[in-house]
Amino acid sequence: MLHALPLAESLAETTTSLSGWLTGLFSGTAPEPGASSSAAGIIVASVLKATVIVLIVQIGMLYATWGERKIIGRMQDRLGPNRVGLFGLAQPFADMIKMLTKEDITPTAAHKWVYNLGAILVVPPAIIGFAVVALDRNLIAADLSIGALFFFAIGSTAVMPIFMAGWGSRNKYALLGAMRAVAQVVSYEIPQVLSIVGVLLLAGTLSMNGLIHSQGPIGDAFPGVWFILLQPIGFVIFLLATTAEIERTPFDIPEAESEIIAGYHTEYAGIKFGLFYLALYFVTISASAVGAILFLGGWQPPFAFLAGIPGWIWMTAKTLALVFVFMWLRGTLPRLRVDQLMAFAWKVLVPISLVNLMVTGLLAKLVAGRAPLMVFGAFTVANVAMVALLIWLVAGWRRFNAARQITFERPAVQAVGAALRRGAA
Amino acid sequence: MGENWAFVAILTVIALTIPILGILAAMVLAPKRPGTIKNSTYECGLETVGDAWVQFKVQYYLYALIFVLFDVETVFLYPWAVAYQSLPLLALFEMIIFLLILGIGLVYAWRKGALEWI
Amino acid sequence: MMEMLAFGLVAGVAVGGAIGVVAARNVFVSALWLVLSFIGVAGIYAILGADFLAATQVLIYVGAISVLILFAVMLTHHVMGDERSNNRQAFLAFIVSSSVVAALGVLAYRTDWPIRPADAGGSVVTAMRGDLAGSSAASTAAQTGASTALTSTVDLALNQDSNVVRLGQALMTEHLLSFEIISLVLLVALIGAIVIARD
Repeated sequence: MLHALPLAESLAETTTSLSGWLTGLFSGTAPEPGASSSAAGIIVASVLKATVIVLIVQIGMLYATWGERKIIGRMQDRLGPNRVGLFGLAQPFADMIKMLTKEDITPTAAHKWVYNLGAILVVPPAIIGFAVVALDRNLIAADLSIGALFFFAIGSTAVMPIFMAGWGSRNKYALLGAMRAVAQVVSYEIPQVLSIVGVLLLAGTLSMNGLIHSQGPIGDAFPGVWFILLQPIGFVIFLLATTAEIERTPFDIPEAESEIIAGYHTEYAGIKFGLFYLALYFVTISASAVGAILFLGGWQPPFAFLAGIPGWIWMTAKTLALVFVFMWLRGTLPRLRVDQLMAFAWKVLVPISLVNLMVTGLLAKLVAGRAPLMVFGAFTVANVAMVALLIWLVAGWRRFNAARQITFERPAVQAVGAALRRGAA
Repeated sequence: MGENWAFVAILTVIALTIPILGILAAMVLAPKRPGTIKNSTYECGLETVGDAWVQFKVQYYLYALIFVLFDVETVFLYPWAVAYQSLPLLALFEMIIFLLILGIGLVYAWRKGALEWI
Repeated sequence: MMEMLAFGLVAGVAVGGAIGVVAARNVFVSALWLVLSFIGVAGIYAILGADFLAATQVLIYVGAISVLILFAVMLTHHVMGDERSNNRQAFLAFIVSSSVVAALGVLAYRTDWPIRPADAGGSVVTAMRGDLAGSSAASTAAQTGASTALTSTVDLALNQDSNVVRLGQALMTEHLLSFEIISLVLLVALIGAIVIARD
């Protein structure tokens, strides 16, 4: 299936055209008849593909840190990094050199193996998810039939290194941070995986390329539009749950420095501390890429007449747009409290995503085979109705809460007053 | 398909070498001057008191349990969603029954305060 | 050849993890070894061409069950340090576990495993079976209908999905009762745990 070239041949092709070579290398889904696939060919091609992916992601990560500091800086009326190189563009490399040349301190009390393995294993889950990210029509490393599920399964393993880091550090705050992080990540995993069921239901596939193909530019057949238009509630839930899943502000309680120092990576120094940041930015990029594939049509242009622009430009732009949203959230919202955080996942996001799923299922059956405009209209009406219902429920809940506080606060105040008077007497 | 999984395996190996290479580079580049105080547990900057490996509250376990249940539920939802277009309308109600039974579990946990963070 | 090599690798991971569980002197470290064993099992599913099962194994066992186990370990008091677990029944445990292994081995050997020809999408087993010349023949055969790049991608995606689609259809038709009972079992497990934890 793979357009596997012998090493010499593929290297020769590299010099001629990089993008052509990439397309050839990644053409795992569009096989050319008679393409040879020997064991050695598969391994060589896989190693090359993996190296290309890691390099792209590495550069993306370095500049995501720079971009985040610039963007947050501007939002807070600062300039951000601007000393190293033009516009501070060399800042990420300066940071990298700093990380590498700092002393790597391992606490004597730590459980050496678990402590070190925790730092090492935090990176692979963040990288492996990129295997199923499609950059262009034929630019996907592994178009697994279960692509979307694969991504979330790999993402779910990220809790293990966190736990190992917190426990291996043998530090109260690190362990507490790890426990909180794991509880948070697993709680938000449920709304995250539930929010995309509506998309899967409309696309009828789990394969990343299949999902993108069912979101063709406007003008194509049903579903024919980006799923964000049919599943806006699912998209918002996905965005919120993913923010919590990758522990970014406002859901970065595991590293809330005012409460638990730096959470599970309190005891890490130098490069091992750097690895945690590496993983954080890797997952930010991969989650944005998957969000772009699931809800924004991946490499598909928004309108048919824009098809001249290459797909990888659309995909990159959409991914960067979502990365920007994550940074924007960080610059805007304050951190939640840990009990609010857990309640938000289970009492708000899970019920909403279940209702959204049922409504989507019903609508998909009702409008099956209808004209795209009618499908879009039906979904819009349903989504507006759901949002209105939600606003009504929230308003009612707030009124109820306000009323309850008035009734219950008085006896409590009286009891405290009585106790104080008794103490004074 | 085989090639895809072979690629995943190779990507896993390469993903593992990245942090190991980083740590090896730091071993060469970084200074190494250990000291008793420097290598003591940092915690919050003060002397540490007692063992860090303490008993945790049952709340975490309850969250993990509810999580496992809903995780299993989503695993059943995925094939249902993918096959949905080829299934009759009845499939929707079958799934709604499934979700309602689990929803009872969520409501029960909610009412019993298992979802409260104490 | 490749298939055997890959199988040996993941089986080694699974068995090695299991040995680690027994050999580790710390309960927490034992649980971590168990996670490694789970990953090995997921690898075996992937080699068998059961993509969905492999992803599920990772999602449920590595991502969920192991969290449950680790939280249960964190609940226990005074077993967190390095201690030898109670070994008085080691010999008895050895006899029981080795007879279970023997029984399973005999069963696995005697069962007549039905080997179905691979689907159009091509399972890993066919793709990797024997020398890879056979695999390339199988994959070319799978794509004979493909004309343009676009349609071939869509067709292939649909073919590959058939596994998950069939699973969904089977759950909603043949195994509907078991499917609904699963939710009841999950509900009972949840209620039971809450009742035990609250008392």
